[in-house]
Amino acid sequence: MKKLLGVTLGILTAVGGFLDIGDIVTASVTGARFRMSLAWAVLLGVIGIVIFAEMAGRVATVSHRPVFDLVRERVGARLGLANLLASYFINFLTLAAEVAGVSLALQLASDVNYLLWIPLVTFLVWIVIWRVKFETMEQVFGLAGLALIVMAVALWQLHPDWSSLWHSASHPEVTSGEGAPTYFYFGIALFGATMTPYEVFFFSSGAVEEHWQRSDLILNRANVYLGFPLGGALTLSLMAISAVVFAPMNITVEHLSQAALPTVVAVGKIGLALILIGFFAATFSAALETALSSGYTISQYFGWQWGKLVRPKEAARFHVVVLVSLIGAALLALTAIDPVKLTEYTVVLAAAALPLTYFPILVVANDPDFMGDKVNSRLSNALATGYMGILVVVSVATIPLMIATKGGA
Amino acid sequence: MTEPGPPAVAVRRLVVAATALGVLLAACVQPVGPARTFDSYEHKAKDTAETALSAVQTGRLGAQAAKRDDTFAPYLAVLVSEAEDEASSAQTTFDSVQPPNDKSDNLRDNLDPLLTRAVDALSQARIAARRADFDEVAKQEPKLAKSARELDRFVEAHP
Repeated sequence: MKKLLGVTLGILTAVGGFLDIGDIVTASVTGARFRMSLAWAVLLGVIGIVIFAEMAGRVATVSHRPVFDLVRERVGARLGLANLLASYFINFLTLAAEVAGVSLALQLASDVNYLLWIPLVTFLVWIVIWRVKFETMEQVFGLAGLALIVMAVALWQLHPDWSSLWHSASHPEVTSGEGAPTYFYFGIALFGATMTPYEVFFFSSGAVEEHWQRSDLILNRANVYLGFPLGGALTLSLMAISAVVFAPMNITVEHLSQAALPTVVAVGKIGLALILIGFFAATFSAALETALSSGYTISQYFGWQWGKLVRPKEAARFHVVVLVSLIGAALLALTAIDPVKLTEYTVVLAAAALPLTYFPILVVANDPDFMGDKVNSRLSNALATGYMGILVVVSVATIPLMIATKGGA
Repeated sequence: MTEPGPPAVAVRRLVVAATALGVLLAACVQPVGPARTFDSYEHKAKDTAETALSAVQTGRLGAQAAKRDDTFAPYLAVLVSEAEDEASSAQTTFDSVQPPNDKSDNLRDNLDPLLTRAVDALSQARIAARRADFDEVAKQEPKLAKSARELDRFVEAHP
């Protein structure tokens, strides 16, 4: 039973991490604009996050120390601080986007402006973090997030030309009317949305909080290998239904309401109800994860007592950071900044910052003195090092592409 | 003079990084620039028509869902309202651009009525959706379809 609950952690992270506001927006936008020709970016991101999370989970299990504790130790206090500031900043923007995403999901169900929902959503996120047990949080939002499987059902119901979808995915090319810089900019956005760093902060910190032992490493791999590809498959489903419904009608996706439309077309009212539940669950669980990750990163770097399972009185600074981050994110969202644009910029910046946290974990996972017999195998090391190269290329290319394409316009 | 300590250095670097990010995001903003030639104006007209076409087609799908009773009123109201805002904003932005010559005036005269009809149809659909009057929303579908054809023809005529 305990192991089954452990797998739930993976599913929650997969659904809440992969299908957060970033994935929903980028998959819909790219499906409508580029059909399936950017599916490779999702695949690349899924493999990358599997490698990254498996290493981080293994390191956390063997050392009982989470990501930012090790980052500081390996790169030093100064570089570690710069790393922390960059990671926290992107995590903060993601939190703001998720809070806005939950509010937008509620707007779709109520027709009440999302700005009015933001204070309530912020309070709900805080109260869940403060009062609700970790296991309950995992199970409720993990299972509710699975409502998004309706997108795969919608794809089936649309009776698409499967060979055309496969051809578009397997023969990637720059869509007519789009430039190569724009194509690769959105490729980076998808990659960044799939491989968001907060998933790893949350996942490895959860492993430490739940006191994973070496015997739990099989569980770690089951979580990563089962949960994350499930999230990736749902992302591809969303991209595909967007491609099937929107691309032939020359519709570009600018709002979250449009992301639900192909499911409405294919499955009707039940589909709409399920996708709204799924949007809410995915963005809410991602808001929980990013809010907790804010506290995790800062507390772990400064060596404070941290953790959701620790009594608040004993981890006061951790809870203050979570609360302040949450309030700050709500205030940012309340400025009426376009949540979709905020999400698009956030996932791209997240991609640019990935090497900052990936590299120290790769170094530790390769250290036989530290990891003993759980050090990276030759195969995993080759894959992980190859990905480090990809991350560096992505990181270098992101900002010039962002400027050259005016943010993918 | 004393060397600044690590916190001061960190704060300074943070300010530099925040400024750099601000400049970067500012570089991504797309202000509405003037159109100095017909080609430039025509390009803006085409972009505007494409935005309006996307909004109208979104509204059409919403109207079709209403016709089949396949949606909920709050969702439909948000969907159509956002489509209307998108089309209306595109029209306002385009109208604010000064046409550079007579040929551009003709182009503006051709496109503006199409945009007005698109926004009107979406407005009617939004009003009906807010009243949860699905029959009335469905009645807008032919108007939206006609508007979509007109905009599509405009886009095709201006590659």
